[in-house]
This record gives sequence, structure tokens and C-alpha cells, in this order.
Amino acid sequence: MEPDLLVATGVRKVYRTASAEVVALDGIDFSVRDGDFVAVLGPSGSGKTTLLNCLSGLDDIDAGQVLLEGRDIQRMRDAERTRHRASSMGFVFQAFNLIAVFSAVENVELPLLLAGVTEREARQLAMTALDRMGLGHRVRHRPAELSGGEQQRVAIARAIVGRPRLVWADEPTGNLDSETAQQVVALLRDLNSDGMTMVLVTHDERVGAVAHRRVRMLDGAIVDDDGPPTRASPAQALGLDDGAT
Amino acid sequence: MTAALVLAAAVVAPFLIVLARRPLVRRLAARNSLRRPVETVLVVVGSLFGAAIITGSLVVADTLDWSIRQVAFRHLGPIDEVVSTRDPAAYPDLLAAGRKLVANGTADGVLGLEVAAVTVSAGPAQELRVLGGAQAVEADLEAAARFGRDPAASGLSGPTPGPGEAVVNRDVADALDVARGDELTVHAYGQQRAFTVARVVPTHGVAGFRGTTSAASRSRNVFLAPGTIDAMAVATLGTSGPAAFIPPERVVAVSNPGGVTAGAQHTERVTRALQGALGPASPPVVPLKQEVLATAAETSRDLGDLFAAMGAFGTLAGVLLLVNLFVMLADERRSELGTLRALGMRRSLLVATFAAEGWLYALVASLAGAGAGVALGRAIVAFVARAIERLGDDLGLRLSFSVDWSSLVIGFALGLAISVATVVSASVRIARLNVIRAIRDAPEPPRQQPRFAAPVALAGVVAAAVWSVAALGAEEPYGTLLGPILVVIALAVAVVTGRRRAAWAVPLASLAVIGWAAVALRISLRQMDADPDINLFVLQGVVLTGAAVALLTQEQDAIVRGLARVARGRRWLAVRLGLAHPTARKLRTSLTVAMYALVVFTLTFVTVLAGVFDKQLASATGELSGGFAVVARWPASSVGALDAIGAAPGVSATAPLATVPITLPGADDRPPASWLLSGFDERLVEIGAPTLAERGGYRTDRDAYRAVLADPGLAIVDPIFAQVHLDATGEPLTIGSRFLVVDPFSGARRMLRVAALARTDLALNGALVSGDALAGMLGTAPAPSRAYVAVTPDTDPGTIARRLMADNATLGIEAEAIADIVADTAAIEDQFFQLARGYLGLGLVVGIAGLGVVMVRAVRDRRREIGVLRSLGFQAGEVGLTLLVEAAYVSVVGALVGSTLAVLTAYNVVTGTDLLGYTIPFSIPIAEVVMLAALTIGVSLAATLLPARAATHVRPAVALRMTD
Repeated sequence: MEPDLLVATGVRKVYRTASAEVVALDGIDFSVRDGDFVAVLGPSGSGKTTLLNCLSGLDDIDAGQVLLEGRDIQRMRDAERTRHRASSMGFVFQAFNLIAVFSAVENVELPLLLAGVTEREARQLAMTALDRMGLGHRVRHRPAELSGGEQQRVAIARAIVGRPRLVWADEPTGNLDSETAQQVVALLRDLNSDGMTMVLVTHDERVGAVAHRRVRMLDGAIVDDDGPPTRASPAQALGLDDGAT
Repeated sequence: MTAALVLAAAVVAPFLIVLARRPLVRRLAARNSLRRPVETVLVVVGSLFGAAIITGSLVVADTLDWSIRQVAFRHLGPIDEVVSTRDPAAYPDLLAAGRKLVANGTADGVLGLEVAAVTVSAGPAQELRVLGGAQAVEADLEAAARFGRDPAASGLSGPTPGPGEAVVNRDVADALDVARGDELTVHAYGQQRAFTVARVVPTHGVAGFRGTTSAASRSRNVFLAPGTIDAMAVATLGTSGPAAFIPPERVVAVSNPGGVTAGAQHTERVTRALQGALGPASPPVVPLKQEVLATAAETSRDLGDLFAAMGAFGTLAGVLLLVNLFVMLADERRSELGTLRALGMRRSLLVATFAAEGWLYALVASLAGAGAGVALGRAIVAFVARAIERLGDDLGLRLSFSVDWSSLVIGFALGLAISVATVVSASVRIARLNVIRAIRDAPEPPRQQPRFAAPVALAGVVAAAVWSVAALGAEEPYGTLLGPILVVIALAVAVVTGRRRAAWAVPLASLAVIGWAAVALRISLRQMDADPDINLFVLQGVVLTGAAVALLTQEQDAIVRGLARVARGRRWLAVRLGLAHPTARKLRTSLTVAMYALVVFTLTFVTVLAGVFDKQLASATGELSGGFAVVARWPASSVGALDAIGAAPGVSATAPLATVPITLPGADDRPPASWLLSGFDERLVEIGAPTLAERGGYRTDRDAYRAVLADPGLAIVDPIFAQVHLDATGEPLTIGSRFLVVDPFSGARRMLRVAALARTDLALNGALVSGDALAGMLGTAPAPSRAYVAVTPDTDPGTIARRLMADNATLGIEAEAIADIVADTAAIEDQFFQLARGYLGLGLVVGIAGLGVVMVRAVRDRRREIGVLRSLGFQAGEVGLTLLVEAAYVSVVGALVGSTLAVLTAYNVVTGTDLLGYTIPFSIPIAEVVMLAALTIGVSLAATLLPARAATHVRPAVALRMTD
């Protein structure tokens, strides 16, 4: 069995406003093994994105512990946590979140440069990643000049170019049409097949089906975890291939 | 005032109607304006500068107008015109002519006065208090009180003093610390007589009478019993007097119908009638009141215009800021605006909604700006008053702060109109959005140029070319500057909008505009030699800056690519990102850079000019002093003053000058002006006369001075004299020009020809002629009243000057080391430049506040991007650094553009025109220019620190979640 890459215990997150407190995560215990493909499913407001933010160290927690490769990321100072994030994690967002003033290749090489890779090597790796995404002909274009699917593929290229230990994908198909969504999901699955650990947050059961393991959330708590991974082909997972042939 | 009210109504009424009739517009405008209170305050602050600068300029003009007009009340009262003579025999005829006017109803009153310059002292010998520059005045005080039918205006009351009595005005009483019953002594014509103060009268009207139109704040009058002055003169000089003698002036003062200022409207009629009654060979009638009022109007208008023109750069910077802010607001609300359009809001209503919000900001800003303008005007007046204080009581004007309601209304109306025009045009541009693209926040494609754009541009080329040719032919400066520039711009538009799109068109056109604007300034300034117009300079600055910013905007990608090539590697990532933002938002960047460049342009220009003048003044002591070290002055009645100076220890030689007032007849619509004429002799040339700026065909300065000594028709004038007193054709005087001078006491006229131009007239000698020429003109050789004094080696001129005054106090000698005169002048000039820089610095405040606002908004706009960067591994400090780099790029480019263009313009102004009446060498105060640029950049970065710090505190998860 693969060792645990990430272990979270008793994670609690509360959003406070002037008039109310909302418990977004209520004592979550959660772990991700190396090479895993986990889908976090749940309706809107169930705490999926908050879980991603807290476990990735993008947000602070009110209680509990998050260990990544044995290190408590919530205890790290901001600068250290940022460095850790740069070297160990990749992110894919629903709204793509590319840097508008950078071209596709500049966006992709960004995490490499942040990790200290040389300009030449970073550019080479970014070009390769974009090629792999089928965007070799769009490398000089800025985000505004790309379609939604192309933007998301650039975002995925950016997330994986540094070969991070863990990729977080937050509703990566939310802004895409179904055909493009299928392509993106297949891409994520391929990346996982190559050994990259993935945590996918989605409300779409069909998208979640591609993962080896599905975790369901409701009102800030995990209500179902189907445990051991189920290896299914992307086509099967998406219901495009029932396996009869 | 009426026009301003109409303008204000025109700008306010339509918005009130729309807001009243359209609840949706009202609700959206009001809620959006309150959406982010801090930013609303920043927008209002950024927008109030226009109104503040306009109001401030008008308030300065109000104060000067009011203060100079007070001279009419303080030193003239009911006196409108005067005719003076030094010939006792001619006096009765002058008086009779005046009385004739009163008899036939042309004038309200006539008053005879006898005036002599004297020195007055009081107190015991060991604590003697001496007052030089006083006047002994003899008049029938009871008649004087009734003169002009307004006793309050005359300032006089009570009986005429008897023998041994004196009535003094408040200025004398205060200076000598005397009151009723005290004793004072009058020194004149080598005599000294004691008098008892019978009463003290206010320095007002006839009691404050000065025989000149000078704006000086003091007049020290001692009213004596009739016959006293003549008796003192005769006691020393005998009945005929020596040749070198200036007898007392006999003045006939005329009061026109109407009040103190209203009477001036009858001046032409009364002057004509009086001159007619006197005959052509008589002394000229001097319209003192009209001169004072004209000076008030002209000075206040000129200074108001100067401050308005200087402030125009700040106002423009404010306009650019406002456009920038609205473009940013529109960017932020794009999807919201698209949604409104999708829901059925007409484009016109969208314009109205956006414009109404801007109008609310502009309304508050203009009201606040008008108020701030009063404070600004007050600060300028206080600064100017401090500078004037250096001139001393005899030359300085007493400034009384004054605000006219019309200034507030005009400042408010113009400020509002400028802001609203900006807001409406920005709103129209913003409302032309594509609904779907706006909703999806997708970028707008490049706009299609209308089909008729190219033909219209070509028609523009033809029209501008015609204008250029006509302007160059007619030597019209605005057409000379703008015509060819419009040709180039229209050509560029034609090329860009035509079928052959050419990337080179805009950069090439920008370079051509910069080149022509630089050349045209030299040509235009030459064309305007007689009457330089500061607005042309403003226009040229705007054109230069606009062209340079257009050029840089076009080439921005290349610049940033070049910089990014240098900034390689992990450590420079924040720098690269910081540089990428200005490139991606060209309009926003060019507006901010233009704002900076304009401000730095003006500040640097003034700094370079100040440096050039400073350098020039540094050499002035040697040029002004020639072989002398001290300048001394005394009342012409102080017999023996010159001998006393010559005999003083430390004095090696003296060169006396006889200085008399002259009248320069007005030409065209210019009123006559009072000036001075000084007669010199061989001693001045022998010891070393002041350096000349231009000496025409004469080989040496000495030759030029000797030529003037030899020819009574020649004169040496200083550059100010040459600029102010035009020749018969209305042109400034140059070597060879002729000008007419009139003796105000006899009416004697003499045509003089300019033989040479002096460098400066800091000693206030006026035009220089030979002593013989002066005697010939006046019919008698006047007494010397000033002297250039040479001192023995190793003697301090300042010490000698102070000793001359202390040892000869009762002779009324005032002496000053030439080096001190130069230092005082330099200090005043320095204060002026400081004031100019301070005023122009307001633009810098706009620029810095603007950059701060832009950066605050940038942080808001980019929260999501900041979140992404942080999630990718950007450190918090690096996020802040990107903002600082962006601000640095804008301020560095703005500072570079502004400084470079300013130095170029200053070079053209200094070398292309005779700023001081002659060509002066150009130099760049490099340290100051660099320091100014560095300060601008430093302060700008400091203004960005707060938003940059805010950016470092953005939590990535929160930033990623936020949409607004």
C-alpha cells in the first residue's frame, strides 16, 4: 500500500461575520495516498472548496492538523508554506485564473521560475507541457485570446509542469461545455495514470466518477468515503463506454 | 460672473433633471458612489484640484487688485490728476487753470500743495530717531479737508498748522514714535527746524499723498505752515540758489466728480480740459488715479493669468486622473454594465448613470475645490507678502487678502465644467461596450474606424496646412506652433485609418510633433517678443508631453521586453510581472505617465530657469558694481550729502548721479508711465561704470558711456525699461530705438536714442543720460541725489554703507553695498521660484494621489490574480514588489519624459529669446534636476507602499473566492 502523502485530522474552519458564525469544516479527518485520485463531491456550500483551501495551506484553519509528507503545513510560517506550495503542489481552478498579462507559455513557466528553475529550462519544460496539452501552436497567446477549454488546458499545464507531488483541482470543468469538460477530465486521469496524485473537487457526479476514490461532503463534514480506489477507464467513468464491448 | 453662473446652471440643471426624473439612475449613481467610501473620498480629492487651482489664481488676482486699489484710497483719496511745477512763477497759472475747471463744473475741486523731500528726526541726541524719505507738505488743510467734497476720503481735518507746528500722518508718528505735543526736527537744504506736533492724522487720502503711482505702502508726510519750506531753502541757497538745486514741487491736485474710484472715469475729459486750459508748453497733466487703477487691473490680471497658466498643468493632471479613475471604474464594473444593458437599459441611460455618478463626485469636488482655492490663494498671498517685505516699505506693496464672490463662483463653475466634461466623455466611451463581451468580461476587439475617418483626416491635413502657411506668414504664434502639428496628426490619422495600416505612423508622427514643437517654440517666442504669452508655453508643454507619451505608448512593448530581457531568473520574476501590467493596459498607463510627465515637466522647467537666473545673478555683483562697491541715495534737498559721503573714512571716490522723475507718454491704449532719468558724469566712466549687456557699434563699454556723455540725445536703458516702454511703432526698445521723455514739472520734452543696453538696473537709476543732457532738458542742472561709492581696499562695503547712514542720518542718506542689493534681489527671485515650484508642486500632489488611487484600485482589481500567484508560490513580499515595480515604471518614465522635455524647452527659451533683455548662457543645474526627479519617484513609491502592503496581506484563499 502506498504511504499517506497528506493526512488531516480534526480540521475545523469557521467563517465569522459581524452577525454570525458559519462552521465550514467541522472536525474533518482525511488522508490522501501517494498516486491517489480522490474526488471530493458535494452540493454547493458543503465545504468542498474550503477543504481544498485548508488542506493545501491556502487558508488557515481554526483547529486540527494537516500533515503533508509528515510536515504540519499549518504550523509553517507564510514564506515557508509558500515555498512548500511552490515545490509540492499544483492548482487548477474553475475560473482558470491565468495571469492576464502573461502569455500561455509565460503562465506555464511561472511555477518553475518560482521554484528556481533556470529561464531556459523553464521555457523548455513549459513548451513541452503545452505541447502535451495540444497547445503548441498557442504558446504566445494571452489568456484573453484563448477559448475556455484552451485556458483550462494552460492552467493544467501550469499545475503539472513542475511535477508536483499533489495537484488540487477545484471544479476544473465548471466553466466548460460538456465536450471540453470530458477532454479535461480525461487529461487529469492521464496525468494520474502517470503517477501524479490528484484531489478533484466537484459537484458533478459524472466528473467525480473518474476518480479512484470518492469522498462526499455535506454541511462541512465528510458523510461518505468509498475508501479503496477503483480503477476505471476515463471513458467508463464518464459513462461513454459501458464495458460491454 | 454672469457667464460663470450660466455655466454652472448649464452643468448642474441637466443632471438634476435626469436624477429627478429617473429613479433608477438616481439609485445606481447614489449607491455606486457610496459603495467604497474611501475610494470615493480619493476620487473627490483628486478631482478638486481643478476648481482649487482656478479659484486660487483668481483669489491672488483679487488680492492684488484690491491691494493696489487701496493705494488710490490711501495715497490719493479725492486726488484724480495732478500738474506739478518747480517754477514758483508758473504755479499761479496752474492753479488758476484748475479753478477754471471747478468753476465750469468739469472738476469737483482743486487743491494746491507744495512738496519737498526731507529727513525728519525726533528724540534726544543720544537716542535720535531719524526718518529718511519723508515729505514736507504745505497746504491749506481746511481746504484740503473739503477737497473732493468727501472729508473722510481726504484723511485731513482741523486747521492748517501755524509757524513752529507740524501735523504728521500716522506713518511718521509710528516711525518716529511721536504724538501730539512732541517735538520733531525737519532737515532740508542744509537747515534743521524744530516743530511741535499739533496732531496726528491717518495715512489716508491727501494726508497720505505721494506724488508717484508707486504701490509702496508708506507715505511719510509732515504738514507745515505755508512758506516754511521756501524759507529753509532760501536760508541756505539764497533766492536764486546754486545751479545744482532741486526746488520744492508745487502741485495742483484736481478732484473729478464722483467718489475715490468712480472719479477716474472722467479722467480723459478732465485731463483734456485741463491740458487745454494750460496750453501745449505747460507741464503734462498726470492722471495719477487712473494710472493706479490701470496698474491694479493690469498687475492683478497678469499675476492671475500667470498662476492660472502655471496651475493649468495641475488642472490637466487632475483631468487625466479623473479619466483614469473612470476607465478603471468602468473596467471593474464591466460585467455589471453589460448586465444592465442586457436587462434593457438603453445606452444613453447607461451614459447618464455613469455620468451622474461622476457628476456627484465633481459637484462635491468643485464645491470643496472652490473652498480649498481660497486657502490656496491665502497661502500664496502670504508667501508673496513675505517676498515683498524684502523690498522694504518704500518699494513694497501692502497686501490685504481679499476674495471676490465672483472668483468663488467662477472657480466652482469652471472646475465643475472641466470635471463634468471629462466624466461625460469618459462615460460615452465606456457605454460603447459589447453586451456579451462585457458580461463574460472578455476583452473588446479593436474598434473599426468609421469609413469616413480617412477622408476627414485628409481634409484636416489640407485645412491645417492652410492655417500653418497663413500663421507663419502673419507671424501668428499659435498657428505657427499648432498648424504643422495638426498637419502631422491628421496625416498620421489618415495613414492609420486608411487601408494601409502602418505601425510606423504614430511613432514617426510623435517624433515629428516633438521636433516641431521644440523648433516652433523658438519661432513663436520671437514672434511674441513684445508680449510673451504664457499660455503658449502651456500649450507647447502639453503638445510635447502628449507626443512623447504617444511615442512611448507605441514602443512600450519593446521597452518592457528590453527590460524583461535584463530582468531574468527567479529573483526578477516580480519585476517582470510588475512590468507586464503597464504594457497590458496601455491607455491606463499612458494616462498616468502623461499625468506625471506634465507635472515633472513644469517643475523641472522652473528649476532649470531658476538655476540659469541664479548663475546670472551670481555674476551680477561684478557687472553692476563696475569700480564701485556701494550705492547711496538721499533727498535732493539734502545739501552737502555728496560732500559728506566723499569725506567719509573708507570712501575712496564717488560718482554722483542726478535722478529726476520723468513721464513717458503712453502709446496706443497704454497710459503714460512715470519712470526715472539719471544724469551721470565722467567720474562714473573713469572709475568703472556698470557692465553693459549690449553696446551696439561701440568697441568697449567705456566707449559707449563716453558716447552718451558726448551726445545729449543718447541714453543707456536697462532691459526692463526696454521691454516696458515701447518705441513709436509699439516694439520693445533696442539699440538705435528712439523714445520720448517729458519733464513732469515743466513739460519739456526730449527724444532720446538708445545707445546701449545695461545688464540690469538693480540700483534703480532708470535711464542713464549725461548730466549735461539732463540739465539741458530741465533748464537747470539738478542736484545729485545718489552716488556710486568706491571704497578703499580691504574695507567692507557693508560696513561703509552702514556707517554712511549712521553718521549722516539727518541728511537722509540711505546706502547699501551692491553685493547686498544683488543678494536681496537673488533672495526675492529665489522666493518667486520657490513659490512657482510650490504652486506647480500641487500638480505633483495630484500625480502622487492619482498613482496611489490607481494602485489601490489595482490591488482590488487583481485580488484573484494575487490569490493565484500566492497559490503558485509567490511570496507575499513579491506580490507587493510587483506593485512597486509597476509604480516605479510609471513614475520613472514620467519623470524621464518630463525632465528631458523640460530641459529641451528651457534650452529653447533661454537661448532662443532675450529673457533678461539680452541673451544669457544656458546651463543645467544637474544636481537639482536629478534630485527633483528622484524625489518625485521616491514620493510616488512611498504613495504606493500602502496599497503594496495591502496586497501582501491578501489571503490567497479569500482572494481566489472573491469576485468583488
